[in-house]
Amino acid sequence: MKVKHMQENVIEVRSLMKKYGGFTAVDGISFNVKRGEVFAFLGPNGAGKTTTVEMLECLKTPTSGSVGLLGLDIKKDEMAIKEIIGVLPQSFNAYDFLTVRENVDYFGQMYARRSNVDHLIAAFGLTDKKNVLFKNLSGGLKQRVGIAISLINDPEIVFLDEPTTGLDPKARREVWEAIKALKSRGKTVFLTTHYMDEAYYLADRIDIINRGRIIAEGTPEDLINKYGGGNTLIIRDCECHALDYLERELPCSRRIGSDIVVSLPEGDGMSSISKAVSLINEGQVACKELYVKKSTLEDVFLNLTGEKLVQEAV
Amino acid sequence: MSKMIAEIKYSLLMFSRNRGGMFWTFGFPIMLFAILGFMYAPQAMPGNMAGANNMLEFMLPGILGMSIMSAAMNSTVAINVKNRARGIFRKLATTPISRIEWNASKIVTQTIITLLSVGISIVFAGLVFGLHPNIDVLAVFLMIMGTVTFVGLGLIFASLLKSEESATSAANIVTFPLMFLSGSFFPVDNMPWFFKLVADVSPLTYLNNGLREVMISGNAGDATTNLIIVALIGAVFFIVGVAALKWKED
Repeated sequence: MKVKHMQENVIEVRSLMKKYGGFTAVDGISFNVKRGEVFAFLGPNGAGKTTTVEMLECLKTPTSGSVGLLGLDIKKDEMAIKEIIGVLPQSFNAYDFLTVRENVDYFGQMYARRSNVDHLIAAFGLTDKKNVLFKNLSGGLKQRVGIAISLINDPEIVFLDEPTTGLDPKARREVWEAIKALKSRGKTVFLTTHYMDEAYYLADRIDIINRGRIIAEGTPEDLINKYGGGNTLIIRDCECHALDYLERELPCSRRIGSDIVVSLPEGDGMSSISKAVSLINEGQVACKELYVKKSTLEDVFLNLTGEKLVQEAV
Repeated sequence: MSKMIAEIKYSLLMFSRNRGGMFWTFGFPIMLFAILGFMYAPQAMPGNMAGANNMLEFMLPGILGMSIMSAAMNSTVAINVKNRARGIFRKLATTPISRIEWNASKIVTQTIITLLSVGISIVFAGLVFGLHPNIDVLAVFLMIMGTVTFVGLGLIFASLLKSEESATSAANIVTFPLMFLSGSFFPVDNMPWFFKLVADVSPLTYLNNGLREVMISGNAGDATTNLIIVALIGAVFFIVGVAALKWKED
């Protein structure tokens, strides 16, 4: 008998640790994932994201700690867990010489319980491509097939390990929509990513992980409000005397090139903005534009660790 | 059971779409037999010919043994190295199919392919060179156990290889010398002693000898001895191979 309500924890992780010799990949982390939410593990490469998700998928054995998936223990109930989880492994490619439909059916045959192959293919917008060999698909479509395959056993929990790494921006968008569709089907989604925009767009809740430890947890907005360093007002492309004048008159302002950047105090941003506007009007100074920039998860990570989240260009 | 049936069905489908694999499995043995057949047809070989009337009769079982080996080795190494690189093993490890079930399915698949390939070669030898070797249950068992042996050896190899690129050439490093040193094309007895040592430890030697006993002289006793040797080697290779080629990294 299963009780289904939103607050139920479907994943419970306690003091999970993974060591390789002297190296600690995952350092005693604990967290919960609730039913129906998209939960993201956000962190740089090598932070321990994949090691963690692979322990949850019974692909790696923890050094210590416990993991419960819907009340099942990963150490004792591996076979039962396999039936109720769906997995998109990191850099997964299905069989080149099978079509989309054949690939989905092949993996479906591995399970006792499976969804209708054609319905699933239609749900992911793959009906046109269902008789195309996997090797002839674009990168974005390949990942969509991978996500469709991860749903073939109608799992309770779906694990997606870096689902958009290596994709171009358009393909990433496509995959994001496919992940959004998972949520609307009521699935609990555990996502790992090193892209902050991906976590921001998709996740209900985020754990930021760095060097094997969880360093912050919350909704994207909460994390930004708490650790993002507040919003900034930017007054762009000002004349020389305008720069001096605004920097002198506005508190917490500094000059960057021909711009004035003002850190807005939390909860009192409006007064700084109106002061800036009136200063510009009264002083008759010329500036091109004025806007407020919200801080991002990138700022959150930078403020928490002093390091950049992503080095590579997206 | 439906897991294994799906694995076999889709493996055969993938094989049928792989033109390179089809050629090496079905075309290459025929080509080899045609070339060697027309070259050696007029000649009689001195020495122990295992009771064969001529060189062609001697060579047919050897070419069958060789093609069983190379088809099983090459496809096993290629499939396993590729599946590992593409994350398919990681994916399969999260599904209920076990490694034993999956590899047993591969044995069935490869056996079907082997028997097809052997059938094609024998029909060809009959039509072109008028050869009619004796085929019985013992011969079929030898072919099946030969397949198990070289699928097992392929698994062991794949477990040692790291990159996808090196896979096929690495398999050839083993299969190529064994073709010549296991009595596929010429009798082992005529070779220098150090080559005979290789022949003694090569499982292909026992597969070839067994097939020759059945197909040429119909000597069931000696064929059975060779079958038992091949079956034992096959069981060991398969068990070691399945154990060595892990789907999960620790």
